[in-house]
Amino acid sequence: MKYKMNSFILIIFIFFIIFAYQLAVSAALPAPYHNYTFDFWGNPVPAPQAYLPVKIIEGLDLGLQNFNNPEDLFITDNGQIYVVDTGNNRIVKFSLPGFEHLVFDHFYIMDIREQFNRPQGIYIRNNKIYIADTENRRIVILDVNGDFLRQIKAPGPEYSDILPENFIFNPLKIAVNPKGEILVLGRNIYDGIMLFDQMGDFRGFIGAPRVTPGVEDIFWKRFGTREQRARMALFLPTEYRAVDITPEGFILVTENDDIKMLTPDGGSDKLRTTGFHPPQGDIIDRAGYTLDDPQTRPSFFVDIISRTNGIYSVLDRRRGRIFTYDRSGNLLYIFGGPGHLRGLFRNPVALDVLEEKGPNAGQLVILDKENGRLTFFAPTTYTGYIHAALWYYEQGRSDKTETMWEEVLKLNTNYDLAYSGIGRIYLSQNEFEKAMFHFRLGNNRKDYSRAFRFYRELIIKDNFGKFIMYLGGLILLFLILFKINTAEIIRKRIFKTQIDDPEIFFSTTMDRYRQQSGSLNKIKQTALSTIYALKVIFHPFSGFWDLKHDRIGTLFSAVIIIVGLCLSYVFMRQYTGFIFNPWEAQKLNIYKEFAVVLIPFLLWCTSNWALTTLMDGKGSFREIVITTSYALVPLPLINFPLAIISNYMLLEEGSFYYFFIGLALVWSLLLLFSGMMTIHEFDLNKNLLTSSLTVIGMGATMVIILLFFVVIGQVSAFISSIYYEITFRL
Amino acid sequence: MNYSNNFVSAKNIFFILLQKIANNILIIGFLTGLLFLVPAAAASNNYNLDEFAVIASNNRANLYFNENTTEFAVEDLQTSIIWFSNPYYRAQDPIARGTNKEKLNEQFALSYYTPEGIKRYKNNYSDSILHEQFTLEYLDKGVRISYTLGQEWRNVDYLPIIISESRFENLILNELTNETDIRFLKDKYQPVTLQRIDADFDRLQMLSIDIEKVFGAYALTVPGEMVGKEQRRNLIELLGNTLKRYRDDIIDYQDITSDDVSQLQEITTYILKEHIFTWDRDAMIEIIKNTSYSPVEKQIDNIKNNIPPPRSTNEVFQVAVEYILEDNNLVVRIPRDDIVYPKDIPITFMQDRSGYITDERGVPIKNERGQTTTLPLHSIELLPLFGAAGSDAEGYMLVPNGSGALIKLNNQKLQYSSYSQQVYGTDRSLRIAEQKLFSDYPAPLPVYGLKTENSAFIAVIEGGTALAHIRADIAGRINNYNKVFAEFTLIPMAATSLQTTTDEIAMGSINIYQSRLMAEDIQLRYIFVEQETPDYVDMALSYQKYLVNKYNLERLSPEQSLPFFIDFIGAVDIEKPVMGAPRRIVEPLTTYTQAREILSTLELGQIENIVVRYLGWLKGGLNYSLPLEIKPEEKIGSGKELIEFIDFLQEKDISFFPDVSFLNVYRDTFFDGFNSKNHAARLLNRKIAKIHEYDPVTFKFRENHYRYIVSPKYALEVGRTFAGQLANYNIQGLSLTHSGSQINSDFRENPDRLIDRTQAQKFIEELTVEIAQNTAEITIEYGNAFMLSYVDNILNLPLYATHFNIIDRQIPFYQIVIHGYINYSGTPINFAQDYKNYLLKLVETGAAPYYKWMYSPSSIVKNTRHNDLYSANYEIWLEEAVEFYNRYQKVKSGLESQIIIGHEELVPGVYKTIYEKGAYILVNYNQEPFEYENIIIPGRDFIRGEND
Repeated sequence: MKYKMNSFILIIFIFFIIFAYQLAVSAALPAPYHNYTFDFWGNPVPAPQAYLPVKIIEGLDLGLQNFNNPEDLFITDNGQIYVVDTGNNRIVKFSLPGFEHLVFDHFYIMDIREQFNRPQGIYIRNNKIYIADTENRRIVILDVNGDFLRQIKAPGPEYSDILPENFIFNPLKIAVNPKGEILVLGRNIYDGIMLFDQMGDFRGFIGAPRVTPGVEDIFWKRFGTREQRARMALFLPTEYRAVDITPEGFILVTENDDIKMLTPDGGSDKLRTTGFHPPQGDIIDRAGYTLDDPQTRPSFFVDIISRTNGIYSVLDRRRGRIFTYDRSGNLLYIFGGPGHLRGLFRNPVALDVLEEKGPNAGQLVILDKENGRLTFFAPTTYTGYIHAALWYYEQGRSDKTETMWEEVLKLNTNYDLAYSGIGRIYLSQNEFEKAMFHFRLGNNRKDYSRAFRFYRELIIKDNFGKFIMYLGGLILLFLILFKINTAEIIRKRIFKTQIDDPEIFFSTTMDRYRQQSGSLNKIKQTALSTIYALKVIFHPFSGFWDLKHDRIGTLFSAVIIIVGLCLSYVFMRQYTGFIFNPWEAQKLNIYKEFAVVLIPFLLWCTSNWALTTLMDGKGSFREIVITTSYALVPLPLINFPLAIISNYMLLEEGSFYYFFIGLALVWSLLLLFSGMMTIHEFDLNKNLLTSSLTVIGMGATMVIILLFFVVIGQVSAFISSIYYEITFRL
Repeated sequence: MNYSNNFVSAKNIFFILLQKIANNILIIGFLTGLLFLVPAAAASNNYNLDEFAVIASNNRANLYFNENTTEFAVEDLQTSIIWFSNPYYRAQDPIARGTNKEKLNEQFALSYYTPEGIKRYKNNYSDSILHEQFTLEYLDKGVRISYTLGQEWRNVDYLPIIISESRFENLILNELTNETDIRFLKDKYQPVTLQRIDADFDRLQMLSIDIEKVFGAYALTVPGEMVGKEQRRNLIELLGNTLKRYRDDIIDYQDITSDDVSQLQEITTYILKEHIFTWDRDAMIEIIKNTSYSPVEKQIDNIKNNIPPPRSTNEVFQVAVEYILEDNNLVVRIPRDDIVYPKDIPITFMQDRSGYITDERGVPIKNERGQTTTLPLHSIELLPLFGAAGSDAEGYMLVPNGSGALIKLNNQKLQYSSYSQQVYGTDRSLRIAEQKLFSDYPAPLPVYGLKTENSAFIAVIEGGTALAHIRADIAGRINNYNKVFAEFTLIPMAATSLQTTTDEIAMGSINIYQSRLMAEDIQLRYIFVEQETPDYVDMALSYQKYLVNKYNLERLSPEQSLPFFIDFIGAVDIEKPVMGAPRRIVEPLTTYTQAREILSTLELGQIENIVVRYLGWLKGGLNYSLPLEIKPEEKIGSGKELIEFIDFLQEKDISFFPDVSFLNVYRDTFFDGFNSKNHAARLLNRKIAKIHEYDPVTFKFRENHYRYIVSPKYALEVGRTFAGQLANYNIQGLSLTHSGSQINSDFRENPDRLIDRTQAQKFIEELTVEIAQNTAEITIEYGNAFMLSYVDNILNLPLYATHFNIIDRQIPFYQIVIHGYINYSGTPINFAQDYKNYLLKLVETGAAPYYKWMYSPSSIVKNTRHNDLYSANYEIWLEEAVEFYNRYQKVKSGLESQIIIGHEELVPGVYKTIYEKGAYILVNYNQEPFEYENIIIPGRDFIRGEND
């Protein structure tokens, strides 16, 4: 909101030095709100308090009648505070130390006395006060003494083609860009921001929220009845709630929990969202809240301010909190809350910042409509360090930035941004290992990958000889194994057979084992059967045929394969390289991982069995289970080595990683398909049909099972509540 | 039960007694008054105390008492200030209207719940004094008043509906002397009778009633009068309507049978006329109340005339209050055993086929085994107007919010809600709010007070403390007085939802109550501050004096230097996947060897009086299971190492407090001696009591993050065995987490197994005594006042107060009370909201430095459930800590054992704390330097000054 000229930079510099080293709060009150921030996974984690309430000002404190439903607030660069006291139809201007105040409640146009009628917005630029005189349907421009300069009325009838039908001009919020053009948000205006030029002439709408229809919208549009389509038309884009201008002239607007940064001419959204989450206020884990409780709804931004260094703060009315983001969209800190104590809000409507030098520098001021009061919040030492670090970074002073980030980490080890900040400095100093350590703590995969690239190069370069040696050794090992014909040794030594032809080796050996008894025999049988999987995946048709007809596949080895598959997923979650591993290690749940594999597997088998029995499939349930599990062998076979290799890969090499993930999946599906075809003795078309029906059957079974559980749950809840009621009523 | 009868007789006897006693006391009072009351004469010039009599006096104070209104006044002879139980000029209150005006005369008010779950109120003026339902008994140094609140019968229950002539005359008319009254009454009743008729009698024909069948050989007429057909029709309608109105089974005239009216045969009976004006009815009731006719008689009449008898309301409560003058203190007591509330009162009458079963007089007998009612006596507001200050007064009210806070008299903040806080925090077993919206500072001290221009009192809650809410409000809301008082919850209530699934908001909810009254008497002590112009420091010092006398608190030794408190975090449990399976692994954060290293470093920094607390040293780290025996966590060192560590500390003269909580259980494992079904406390809805963690975003509690509340009785058992083993490790001190910050009931249904909050407090005290017998010293947290006699150090003492909108200022009241007697500090500096600001707060309030440290880097707890230890690594704080300690120690040398005798705000942001022997410390929170008596304090700094 503030337009700072370059000459001010020195002042800002001094201000931040003060910020970082001296400016703690004078006699602050304890903060009654919770202190937290969000981590990479969107969990709230504790953090030090960012701002503490220091002062509360009501109308009475200024020696005036109390504010009545005030709607907006503006603070100028020299610390003049303007409050739009809507209910009292006046603008109150005051400055801090002595509370000297001025009240603007009337002005003269050509000697005719005029008043405001429920004004709701204000903006000041170049010593001109722009007031949205809402119910008088005009914008009033006054000079700093309150003398009338100009007024802007609704656009004339010549604009009727771009104005909506029955248009009424009720300006709510105003901003003025460095060029002196006036941006206005009005009541019931869904076409974007109204733009007036310096002369007050209407220039049209800019930044209309683009409506991107969802899948269901398209569906209804195509298949809906006329009534349904008519109702759809009512789903208009919502209005912008707040607007502010950055020093560079970009336009910041909010719409529910959404923030947009439009180009100065109102073009596309340029907001950078490289943080862990897009700027959206509170991230709510909605799991477990079936009830539509207001406390669990998304944030609702009612005001936004642009601050120095590309930082911006938004005010959430839903839970009375202020969220601050840096220019890349990283969440810096959160404070505030709803309630009836000092420092909490009942209905906050506007915020602004005192940025002038002096004892109140950096204080945020929040206007509460319901309480009719302004609450001043001063930054804590911790917040001072964060701002200083960002400022030094903008200035390119990496040594200072590092010190500041270290101070932040000292106070808050959960602060991911600081780790990234320090990591970046180490990276620039070519300390790759330290950089990687910090990026890892800061959950910054992109920069970690950058640091790792250099680190990997370095390691390879340093150990090139060793690296070549290992590689040579590995190749040698393979050659030797190949030369001495490992397969033959296994055949002869372990399975004690002389048959060389692999085609008949498995079946004859299996037959032999089957005729003998003994537990060692059983183990050998299973081992043989499992090893056979390696043949199956390369020669599916003959493999599956033998699997069935020569009874090489055993249930026991099927279980081994499935367990191996489950373990491969667990292994992947825990041991995949940091860059490709976004999972939260603490929340790893082995049962869930198993369920993710086992439930679809069992569903597939039962559903397929049920269908193929009806459709003259030749495969038994046992055969289906065995075939399915053998078909899944490529997954663990690729997952295990891939997880290990991923530790040595960069983000840019991700396509390689994802290619193999996909390869394993496609391979398995093809195997599954051919396996089913083989054991059921279907032709291609019939197999296609049964396979797709099986998938539908899986869905149906799932629905029935869920329904069953829901009903059981309802019944048990009903019985227990009756029991509970009886125990109390009797 | 018939209270009114008992009262008349009891009162008569009492009046005679009372007059005799009063005469004696008056004579004594007069004589003593001649000797001592010279200044009092001047004071009483303002007030007319004719209605009052001195009923107790000593050389410090007089207790005046008004026998008619049971109000009292205390005159402090030193300051000659008179404190009234009810404002003297209350009749001129311009705001109070109606009930609120009456309430200005009350000494206490109670609230109770009806069976429908509606909260109702009664006060001792409207519901007892106005009905003259109280008795007096003079005690050695005071008086005891037994009130009966509420009337058993409603007013209409006095008004007969149908009554035979003989009873009407005998019981009512004959007792009246006033002819007009008799005529008035008679005029409202219609005499009727059933007269035998001849066969040729011209019977009335009515469509809706078969007259022949109902009346048989009789006809309804007015006795001794010839009545026309029209009038006879009216008579039948009157009788029919009366029956219709009072009988549930008669909906229409045709439901009337001959049995219903046969009692009228040949007997003259009066029936109450229809359409009587309300004022007439009230006048009738007034007249009848002066006769011997009672609702019991009405029961007899109703039954005789086949109308249901009136039922008593049962909303009758008995409460006795004692006012006793002790020295210049006034002690107010409500004995628990004399509180009577309706409990399991039968409300139905016994009936058989022929109707109500009555005794020989005809009074219906109550059905003891039928439906009963209980009206739980929820709370009592005691002396809500004692010392109340008018709208022109200046001064403030003191409330024990956190460290202490002031509400300025008449601060005009009427748009904000009044102050109310429970003493010793909320009962966590009484889960009132499922959401925790803000962090607050509960009231650790059971004390409140009020100061006007030249007078001040404090009130100390001595009995029923844990049940008290302290409430305060400014003038202008319902009356024109600023008042601060205590409300006691005698029977806690909770509403429970009957829906067991969570996705529906209370479809139906019912109230559940504690199954009996609390176990302790209620007792309040008013202490009058004897200063010319008292302020909050004087109020604190009065309370300090009281505590020192009561608990024999001892001064700290004058050689003692500023303590330096450290918490070491031994170990935590961290969830880590091991081979894919999530496991809780105990991670050592500070081993004994590492702790030793830190302490040696501190020694180099010349830190003298180190006090060490060890958290997370029991098996399992911070989340240990029930401490039935001492099982140290092996990962931070073996048992031998622990003993060696303790030896090391003793050698260095460092106090050592391993930390343990007996009141909460963090982890329930098999065979650990804790079975949540038996050993955990219960909520009022009979579920197991847990303390949940809250989601800071949505304020919902986290279903799977909780700790159990141990039943206080079991906690005592556990503590006893634990204490017995302390000697094995040569442990000389113990830190009892939660003992100073929690009192939780165990709301079991069985009244004998129920542990109410006062009992829970007793168990915690007993537990502490048990520990104290095995250790030299005890450290607690937060510092609920009942622990003060046992403790040597208090950590996490509130240095701030919850900033309710109505509060004007926070003051270090608690710190003034205990400085020089007990060592204390607030929250750890490294976890303060803004630590630079907090350092100044420590200096202002005389609190010692305190850090919470671990040896490992903080990042070890990142992404674990212990991520709240986000700034605990010792290394990053060490240098600053040493520097601050040395500066602070220099400023505070020699002051540790002195009491604080003054505290003031010189200008906003600059505070002066004065110590006993004249030294003072100035703290400047502002950035600009400040000059005070030629001393310049730099911005954001502190400095010491001396007064000679």
